[in-house]
Amino acid sequence: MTPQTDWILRWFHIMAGIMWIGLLYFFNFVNVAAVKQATAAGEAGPISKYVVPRALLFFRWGAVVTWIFGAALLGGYPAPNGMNGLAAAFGLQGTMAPIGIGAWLGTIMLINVWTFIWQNQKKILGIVPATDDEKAKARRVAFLASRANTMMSIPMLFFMATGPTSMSQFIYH
Amino acid sequence: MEKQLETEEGQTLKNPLDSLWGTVVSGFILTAILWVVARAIVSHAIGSGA
Repeated sequence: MTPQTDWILRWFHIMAGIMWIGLLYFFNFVNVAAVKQATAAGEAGPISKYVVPRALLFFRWGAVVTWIFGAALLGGYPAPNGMNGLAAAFGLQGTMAPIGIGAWLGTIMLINVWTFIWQNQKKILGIVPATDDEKAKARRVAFLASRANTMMSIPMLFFMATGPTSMSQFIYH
Repeated sequence: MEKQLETEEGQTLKNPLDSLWGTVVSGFILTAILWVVARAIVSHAIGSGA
């Protein structure tokens, strides 16, 4: 991979990642408490109608774009023993293990977004029909999946920031 | 409804993910555990010359 390709892929990976994780933190640090307070005041309707659907659109597609650019970046990375960088990272091979752990966490989070969070949010927002019981269950599952992603984002960002860089010799050796 | 887990003394165990700060602390603990794993793999690879 040329240096130009590397920095372009890295640039788009980081921009999309900020969109994804920024909205994840918005949901967990701001929106959950705001909706709880607004519901108690009988004013949660506009948040669910105008804010959450837009935020979820950029959230779930931001996750996909982040993963694609990250995978492309890793694929062109020089890995030990002549391996492809993507395979070496996901295989936790040697010095590629730290970025590989970050890649695994990011992948699990992406799967969480599209299965547990988005599928349940569609029931909560009325995009697909659901009974009140199904909505209550969906709300709990989506909440826990979102919280699990917030928890995993902390080590994911650590391994993304400290993976195969000049810093890694001080952090992992 | 979700099943409540209890200790032998009958205290209800709380899910740390229900609390925002429990989530953040869990994230830092997970980071420390995974850092130990990553360091072990990297040290082994460097030791074996890979």
